[in-house]
Amino acid sequence: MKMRRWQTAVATVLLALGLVALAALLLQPGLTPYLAVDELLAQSDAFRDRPMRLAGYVVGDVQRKVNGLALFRVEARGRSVLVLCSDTVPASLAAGSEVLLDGQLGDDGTFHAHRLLTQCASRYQKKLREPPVGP
Amino acid sequence: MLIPLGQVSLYMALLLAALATVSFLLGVLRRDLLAARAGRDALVCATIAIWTAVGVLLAGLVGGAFQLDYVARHTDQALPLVYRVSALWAGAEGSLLLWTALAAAASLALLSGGPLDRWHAAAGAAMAAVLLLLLLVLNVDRAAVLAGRWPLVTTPFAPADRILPDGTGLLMQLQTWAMVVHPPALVAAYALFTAAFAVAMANLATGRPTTHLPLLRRCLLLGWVFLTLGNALGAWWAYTEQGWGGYWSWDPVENASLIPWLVATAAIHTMVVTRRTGRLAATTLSLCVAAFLACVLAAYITRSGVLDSIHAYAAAEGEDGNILAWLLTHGYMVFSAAVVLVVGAFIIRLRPWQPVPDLDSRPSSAVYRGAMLVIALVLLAFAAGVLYGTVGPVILSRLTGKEYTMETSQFNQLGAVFGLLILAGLAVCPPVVSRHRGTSRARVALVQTVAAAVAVACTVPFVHTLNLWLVPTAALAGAAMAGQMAASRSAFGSLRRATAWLAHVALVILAVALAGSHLVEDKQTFRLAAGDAAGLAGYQVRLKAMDRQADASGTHLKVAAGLEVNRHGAPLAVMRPAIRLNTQTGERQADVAIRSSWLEDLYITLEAYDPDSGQTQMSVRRTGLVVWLWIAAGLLSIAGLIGLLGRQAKTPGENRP
Repeated sequence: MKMRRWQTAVATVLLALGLVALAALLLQPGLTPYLAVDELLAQSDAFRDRPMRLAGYVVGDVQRKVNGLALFRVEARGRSVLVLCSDTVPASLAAGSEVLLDGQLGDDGTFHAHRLLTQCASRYQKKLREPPVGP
Repeated sequence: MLIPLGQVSLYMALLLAALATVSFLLGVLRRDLLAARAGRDALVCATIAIWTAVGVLLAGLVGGAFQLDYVARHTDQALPLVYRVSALWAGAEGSLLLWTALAAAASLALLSGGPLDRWHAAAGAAMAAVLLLLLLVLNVDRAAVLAGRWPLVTTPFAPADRILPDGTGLLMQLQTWAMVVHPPALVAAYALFTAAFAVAMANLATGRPTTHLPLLRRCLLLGWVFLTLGNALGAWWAYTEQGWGGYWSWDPVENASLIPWLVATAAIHTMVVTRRTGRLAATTLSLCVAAFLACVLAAYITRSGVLDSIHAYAAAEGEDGNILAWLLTHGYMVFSAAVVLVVGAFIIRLRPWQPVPDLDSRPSSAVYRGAMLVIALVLLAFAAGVLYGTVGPVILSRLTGKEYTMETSQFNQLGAVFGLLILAGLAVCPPVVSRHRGTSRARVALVQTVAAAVAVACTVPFVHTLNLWLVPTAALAGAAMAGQMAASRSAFGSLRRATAWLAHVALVILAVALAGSHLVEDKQTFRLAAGDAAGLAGYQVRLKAMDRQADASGTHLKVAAGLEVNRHGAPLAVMRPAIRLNTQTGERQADVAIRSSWLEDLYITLEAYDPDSGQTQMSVRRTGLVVWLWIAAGLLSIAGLIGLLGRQAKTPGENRP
C-alpha cells in the first residue's frame, strides 16, 4: 500500500512536471523585447527587423489609408517614430493615446505594426476642466 | 464633512482589523475563547466602519462632492445616476474599497451561526489578516511616503488639489451596463475566494481538513460563478465596445483573472474526491488557498505597476530604497509568501486523514480519483503557463536589465494546446469513470466517442479549408460531445451530476466557439461613399447615407453610417455603425454594429468619416461562432448556481455515487 502511494506520488509529480514543461516550451519562442520609443531609437541598429513590442503616445493625426493601413507617429521622452499599422485602429485612437504596438522596425526607419493595443479607458486620466474665466 | 468622516472610518477599520487579527491569533494559539470573542467583536466593528466608508464615498459620488479627488476624477454633473454609483468601482481606490467591504461582509457570514470555537478563531484570523492587508493599502498612500509626507492619506478620500465646479466625468467607453456589472462581479469573486481561503486555513490550522466542506464548496463555487461572469462580461465589453473585433488580448490583467479561474476549477474537481472519500484533502485546501493567492496576484499586477498593462491602474515608480514604499508596492507578494510558508508548515504537520474505507477500496474509486487528479493537473499546468507568460518576462527583465514581453501568438498556441487537452479529458473521462457501472457500458461509450471523433474529422474538409488545428479540434470536440452524451444517461440521477454534466457540455461549447472564432475569420477595410458597395465572405454591404446628429448642447456629436447588408443577394439587415465625439474633450468612441447569427458574426466598425469628400472608412469583419462564447459562459454560470442548490454532504462519503 505504501509502495503504491509512492508510485502514485511519483507519477503525479512527473505528469505535473511534464505538463508545465510543455507550457514553458510553447511559450519560450514568444519572448520578445519590449521598448519605449526613445529606447528603440537609441539602439535601432540592434533591433532592426526583430519582432518586438513598442510603447509610446500617439502624436499628431492618425492617417487612415484606403488599403486599411493607418499611419501615425508615436512618441516617448522626446523622440518619435513613424508607425504603419495593419491592425484595426479604433476610432478612439487620437493624439495623446497610449499604445502598445507589436511589430518590427523596418529598414526605412518606420515601425511596421501588426497588432495595436490601446490603454484601457480606466487608466486614462484627463485634466480637470477649468472654470470659465471672465465676465 | 465627507472627507474627515470617510478618513476616520477607514482609520478605525484599520485599527480594528489589526486588533481582530491579534485577538483571533491569541484565540487560536492559546485556545482562548475570550480572545476569539473579542476578535469577532472587533471584526464586526471593522465591518461597520468599512461599510460606513463605502456609504460616505457613495454619497459623495451621487451628490457630486468634487472636493473629493476620487469623485472629481470619475464623475461630473451630467453623468447619469447609474454611472455615478458604478463610479464607486471605476477607479483603483474604489474597487479596492469594495473588495474590502465584501470580504468583511463575508467574514461576518463565516463567523455567524453556531458557537465560536477554535476553528472560527482560525478562520477569523485569516479573514482579519486579509482585511488588514487591504486596509493598509487603502490607508497608506505610497506617493505620500515617497514624498516624505504624512503617509496616512486614505486614498479614496484624498482631497482634490483644487476644488472645481465640475469633475472630469466617466469616459464614454465605460458608460455601458457591462462596465457597471463586470468590476463588482470580479470583486465579489475575490471576496468569496477570500472566504474560501479562510475556511481552508482554519481546516489546516486545526488539523481537521475535511470539516466544513459544504461551506468551503459554497464559497468556492459561488466565487467561481462570479469570476466566470466577470471574465465573460469583460470579454463581451471588449468585443462590443473597443472596436478591434477581439474579446481577449492575453493582457497581464486579463491573465490575472484567468489564473484564479483555472485554479478554482481544479479545486472544484479535487473537492469532489475529498467530499466523497476524504482523499486529496490537503490538495483541495491548498488549491483553495492558491485560488485566493491568484486573486492577490491579480491585485498586485493591476495596482503595483510592476507590469505594464493596458488595464493597469498604476505606473511603476522607483522607491529609491524606501522600505515602506517598497512594501506598499510589493506587499501583496510579501503577504502571499508568508501564506505559502504557513500553509506549508500546516500541511507538514497534518495528520494523515483516513479515507472512507468502503468507497475508497473500490477499484473504480481509484480510477475516479486518478481522473480528477489528472484534470486538475492539466488545469494547473495551463494556469502555470499563463503565469509564466505573464510574469516571466518581468523576472527576466529584472535579471538582465532589458525589457521583455510575451507575444500574443504564443499565448494563443498555449491556449490551443491546453484547450485540446481539456477536450480530450472531456471525451475520455466519462467512459473511463463509468466503469463501475459495468465494463461493457464503458466499452460502448468509448467506441461511440472514437466513432464521433472520426466522423466529425471526416466532415471538416467539406466545411472549411483544412488547417493544422482544425482537424484535431473538430475531432476532439466531436469526441467530447459524444462522451458527454454518454454521460448524460446517468447525469440526471442527481442534481450534483446534472450540474457537472451541464458545466462540461458548456465547456465543450466554449472550446468549439473559441476555436471557431480564431479559425473562421475574414477582415477587410473599405472606403465608401454614399451608394457604394463592398463585399466580404458572401456579404454585400452598401452605404445608403451618412447621418450626423448633435445633442441639444452641441457637446456630443454622433456620425452614423446607414448600411444595407445582403447575403448571397438576399436582404439581410440594416446596420448603423457610428462614431461618437465629445466636442469639448475631443474624446471619440466607436459604436460597433454587430449582426449575430448562430454560425457567425458580421462586425462593422466605422473608422473615419471625411465630410468634405463624403468618404467613409470602415472595417468589415466576419468571425465564426462568437455568439456561442456568450451562451457557453451563461451555461457555465447557470451550472455553477444550480450546483449550489441541493443537500450538501456534511461528511465525506455521505453522498453515495
